[in-house]
Amino acid sequence: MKKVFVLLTLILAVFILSKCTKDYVVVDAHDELTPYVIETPNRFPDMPLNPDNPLTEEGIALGRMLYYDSIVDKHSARSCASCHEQNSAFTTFSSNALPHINLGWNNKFLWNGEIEGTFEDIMHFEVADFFEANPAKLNQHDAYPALFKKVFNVDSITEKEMSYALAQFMRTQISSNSKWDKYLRSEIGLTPSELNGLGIYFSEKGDCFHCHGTQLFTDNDFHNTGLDGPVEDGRMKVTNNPLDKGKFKSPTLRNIEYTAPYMHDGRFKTLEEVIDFYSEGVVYNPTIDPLMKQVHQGGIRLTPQEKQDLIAFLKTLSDTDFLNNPTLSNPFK
Amino acid sequence: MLLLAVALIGFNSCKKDKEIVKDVTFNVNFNHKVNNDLVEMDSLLYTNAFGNKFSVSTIKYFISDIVLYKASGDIKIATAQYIDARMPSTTSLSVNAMVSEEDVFTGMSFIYGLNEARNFDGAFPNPPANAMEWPIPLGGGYHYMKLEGKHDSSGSIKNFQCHTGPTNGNQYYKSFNSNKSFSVAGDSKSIDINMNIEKWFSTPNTLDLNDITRIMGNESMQAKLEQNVTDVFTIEINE
Repeated sequence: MKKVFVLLTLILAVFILSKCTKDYVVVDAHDELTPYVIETPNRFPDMPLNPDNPLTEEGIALGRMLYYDSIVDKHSARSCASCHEQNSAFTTFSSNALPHINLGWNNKFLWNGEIEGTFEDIMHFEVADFFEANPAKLNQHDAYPALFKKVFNVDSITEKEMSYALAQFMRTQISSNSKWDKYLRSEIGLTPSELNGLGIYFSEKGDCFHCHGTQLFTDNDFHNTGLDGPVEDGRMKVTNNPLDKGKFKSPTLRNIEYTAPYMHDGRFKTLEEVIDFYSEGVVYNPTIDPLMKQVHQGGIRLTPQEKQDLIAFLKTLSDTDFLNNPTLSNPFK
Repeated sequence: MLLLAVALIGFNSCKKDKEIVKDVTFNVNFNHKVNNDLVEMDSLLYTNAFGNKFSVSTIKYFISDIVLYKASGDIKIATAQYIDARMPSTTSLSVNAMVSEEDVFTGMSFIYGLNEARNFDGAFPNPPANAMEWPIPLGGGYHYMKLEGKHDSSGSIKNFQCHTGPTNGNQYYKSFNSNKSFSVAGDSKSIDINMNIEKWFSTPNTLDLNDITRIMGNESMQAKLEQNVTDVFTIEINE
């Protein structure tokens, strides 16, 4: 009986240990790090990297843990993933948070671009100002000190290393295998409706491409699109330039099918509402973007069929591989 | 005889030694004017030949194949330069080259826009130039220029977007040449390439800004702008 008890205890210990190693990689601080190379997707720009924060497998894994761990929050109430769920293309329907898609190619962050610089800069803002993180909690944790020691060779974790780890992981949140990408690679065709929508998107009929162009489907710039209602400060809050009033960042349209609600204030719940706005709902204001060329007639005036076609094309930007990528998922599950 | 030969060799050597070759910095500046004055962005100050009162908010374009000519070998200043009037890092460029004091430059040339060899999908993958993409369904490649602003149309303010580029397989870039000869006295030479924005709409085709919208697939308008560009750029070689 005693032998059976010992055996069961051993099995239980091995099981617990195996669970632990899934969540926390047991590391030796003297192990070498494994460099990680971002492969630039077809027609994408080169991703800006920070020589002070070279990507490693271990750094990315650590950043992934932090992304899903509410320990980053002063009150341990929420993690990055609370507002950026993978099945919503790393945003949530309950917020107007910008999705975390291909942000490694950005240099102006948040809706008004108030944080400009490297990915490490925006992550430092999130860690220090948004979450008001308390690094002491990580320093007292069972696993994190060894992991940070391994990746950054530090004996005490600070906001800097937390930001760097998150930046490493978030550079890997790359979406580049949508139906559109496969079409560009000549792997598949598009339906007649999708092709009609493509024609609207990439011509001045719809003129979506000027703000949502390149393979990132954003120009990483700020525009006033003529939304109804009082014109908010937008970019002007950062630049103090009255000409920037009402300008907000053009978000990527990759995975737009999953990133509702839409606009900086989340006013539109469906793609149909968004297209209706650009078709008939645009309102003139003094700082409206010159690209809103049909403002005098309320918008681009699409027929119901054209609206359906444009939405069909937008849905070709959905990337289910990205939404289900196991390397981006919650490591604690 | 031997003495004469030695003297001749010595004389030639001396002559060669006297040729001074120096490292010269060529500074090329891209200026944007309305008539003679530098443009004041976002100000409804200007009136074109048609009578439209207009402002300018965006000037982004490519100048390519900038070459200085001289007998001993041409100097290529740039293969393709992306210029954004709001981005100072793009409105000038400097190139160093070894130049003999005896060199006389016989002129320079550049292309407004991009020729077929340079204008293809993926040629400029990185920002900011990548945002000049010309959509694949419209032939692909890159815009030559985005010139945007507002104009007063019978009391109401409207937007205009003068976007040029290859359209339906037709090319509308333009070569510019200057035959003005010059030499380099010091260690640097400054060259100004000036765009007179008003000329886009005036010569030889007088254009109404009400018609300068949604012109990316409009071959007729692209052709008119190609004609007008002839008077848009001037070159100043400064002493």
